[in-house]
Parts: sequence; C-alpha cells; structure tokens
Amino acid sequence: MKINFKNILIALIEKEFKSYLRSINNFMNIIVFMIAIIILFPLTVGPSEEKLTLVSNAIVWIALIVSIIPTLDKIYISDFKNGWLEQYYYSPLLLEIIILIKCFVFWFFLIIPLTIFIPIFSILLNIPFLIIFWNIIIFAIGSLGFCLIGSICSSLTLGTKSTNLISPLLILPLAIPIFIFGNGVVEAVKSNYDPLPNLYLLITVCLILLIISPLISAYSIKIALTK
Amino acid sequence: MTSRLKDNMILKNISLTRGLKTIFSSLNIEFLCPGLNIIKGENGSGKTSLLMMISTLLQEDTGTIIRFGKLKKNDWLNEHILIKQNSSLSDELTIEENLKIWCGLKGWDLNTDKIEKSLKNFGILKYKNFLVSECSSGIKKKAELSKLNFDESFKLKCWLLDEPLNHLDENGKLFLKKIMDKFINMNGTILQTSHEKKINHKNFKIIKL
Repeated sequence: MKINFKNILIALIEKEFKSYLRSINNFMNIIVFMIAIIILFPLTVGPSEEKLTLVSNAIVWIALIVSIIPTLDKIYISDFKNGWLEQYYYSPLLLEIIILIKCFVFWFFLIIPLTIFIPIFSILLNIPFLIIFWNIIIFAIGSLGFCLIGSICSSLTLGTKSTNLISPLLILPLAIPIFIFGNGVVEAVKSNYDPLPNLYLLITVCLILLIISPLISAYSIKIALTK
Repeated sequence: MTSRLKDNMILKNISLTRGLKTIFSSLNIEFLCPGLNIIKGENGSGKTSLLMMISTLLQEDTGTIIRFGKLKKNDWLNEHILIKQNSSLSDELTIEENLKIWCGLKGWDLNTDKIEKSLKNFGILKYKNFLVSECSSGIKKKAELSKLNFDESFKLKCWLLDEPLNHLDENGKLFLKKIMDKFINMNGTILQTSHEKKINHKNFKIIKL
C-alpha cells in the first residue's frame, strides 16, 4: 500500500495544534503564574531601585522557568492515557521523528508566545533595552532545550503514578548548562564583553539535546507502551 | 510448505509473563487464515495480552510468532489494525477530526468524504462534529470501529479486535458482521476476542485459552 508521508506530517501538526488550541487554560496557567511571581518579587525586595536592577534579570528568568516546568512533564501524559502514543507507535513514520515534531509544536505553541511577554515584564522591572533584546534571543533558543529535556523526563515518568514529584528533580540538573550559558550571555553584555562565545555554547547544548532527546524519549515511550 | 507458511499465522511454544504472573506457558496456536478466529476464555485468561503480543505491544518471553511468513516488524505494523477494548480517541478532538488524523498518521488518504461515508454506515454521522468527551461509550465504540470501514482497511492482512461487540446496539452488531464478512471474503484474517455464545458467521475457528 502506498504511504503518503506528507499526510502523516499534516495530521500530526493538525492534531497537536487543535489540542493546544482547545486546552488554552494550560497556557493561561503559565502566564498567570509568571505574572504572580513578577509582581510579588519587587514587593518583597522593597522600594529600592538599586536592589531591583541588580536582580531584575534573574527575576524574569526564574519566573519563566518556574512557570514552564509544571507543563513540561505533561507533554505525553494525555496522549498516553488516550492511546494516541500507541497510534504514533503504529505509524509508518519513525517514533523519533514524531517526537521531534511534537517537541517543536509544543515549543512553538506554548513557549514562543511567552517570549512576547518578556519585553513587557522587562519594562516593568526597568531592564535596559539591549538586555531585553538578548534575553529574547536566549530564551527562544534555551526554551527549545528545556522542551527537549522535558520530553526526556516526561517520557521517563510515563508509567509512574506520581509524576509531579520526580520530573522537576530530573529536569533541574539537566537544565543547569542552559542556565549557565544563558546567564553568561547577559553578564557579558552587561560588562561590555563579547556575548557570542556563550551564545554558541548555548546553541551547542541545544543541538546535542536535539539529537539525544528523541532517541531517549522514543526508547522510554516504547518501554512504557510495552510494559 | 513455504507458500502455506506465507499466509499463515502460527504461535509456536509461546510463554509470556507480566510482572510476576505467568499468562501463557508453551502455547501453540495455528490461526485460520483467511478467516475468523474467535478467542474465548475467562476474565484474566490473557485474551487481550494475546492480541497485544501478536500486535508487538508485548514482547513474548520465549517461542516464535510467525506473522504471515517472516514479515518485518515495520511491515507488520502497517499491515494490521488493533482495535482495543477502551477507546483510543482524543477527548479534545471531534469524532471526524479523530478519524481524519488517524488516517493521516497511517499515511492514508485524508479525504473527509470517506470518513463521512463510514460514519453514515454506522449511523453516527450526526455526531461527527461532537467532541469525543461529549459522546456516550456506544458512539465512541462505533466511531472506533468505523476505522475498519475505510477502503484502505480492507486491503490490510489482519484485524485484531478486542471485544468489539461491547457497548454496540443491534444495528451496530449487524453492520460490524457485514464488514467482517466482506473483509474475510477479501482474504483477510480476523482475530476477535468475545464472550458471545451465538456466532453468526459461517466460517470460523474457536480458540480457547
């Protein structure tokens, strides 16, 4: 029988797109959580502009990361319960490629809209424009890395009952390189050094994850399905 | 001998354990190909596990499964459908979208006409724009079974049906029988688990676990 690979891609993207569109409360959760953190931080630091400029960049980053992590371990869980992961397994397209597409769609529909909010929050926290610009670039690249790490952790915890305990513990250590190189870029810009070396390292980490993550995820999904 | 093996499905000396429980030990079955095979057994006797094992979702501990000669795993995945007992439709999508995306994932034609035709045959065309979460279990089952009613499904080698008659009304059962007969006439093999006593098909083999 003739297999049309274009149709597989169309179907996959259509399914992901519609699922995200209909569960928009997930996205709203992230935004509300993020706004809460960013509003609460200046209140607790106190009315000193010096202190705030010292920590403002960190606040934006922490707010973004903390609000994303709870959604990362839910990439596969609903598909696993619905039996769609099995349908992916039966598809003629390699499971690794399907996972890669799923991660990209997740990144595109949940994380990229968040980057719109970075300039807004950064203005609220009095962050200079040059750093806002770099923050957006780093976040766009780094969040792809987060999604790929999330994919590994989400697939590893598919069979277990209490996923929300294990996933953050798995995600945080793996995410440290992204934190370090991401912050390195901003620190370099602040002190007038060349930010590119750190940016290249950040891209390297993401490229390595791009290769490793689908392989590990596909392997652990197959284990979860055939258990 | 080789030609006979080519269109046969044989389990040789299979044993399977899940966790600590032994489900089969040294199981030998030769299925009727083409034809209808009805797998019977008590609850927990391993009917679903048998289907999942044949469909490669479970890995047998020992023994060999001959799936139509030596089909490669990827070819076998494209040559059969497994309809499980509980629905595998996404709650967030409508019935039509579910079926369309399912066809797409198989690499088949994405034509909505054939989906409408299939739903119409099962008598659930009016529910096509309902979200799956709003549908009753009978309608979900019919939507699931209408995957079998596409032109491409009849060209496959094998259908694995896990209790397809659950939740179905009389019309649904009649139409399912009709498409099963059509598939067998087109040289298809069906493995079906069932608790029904009365079997209306002409040519079938009962396998007791």
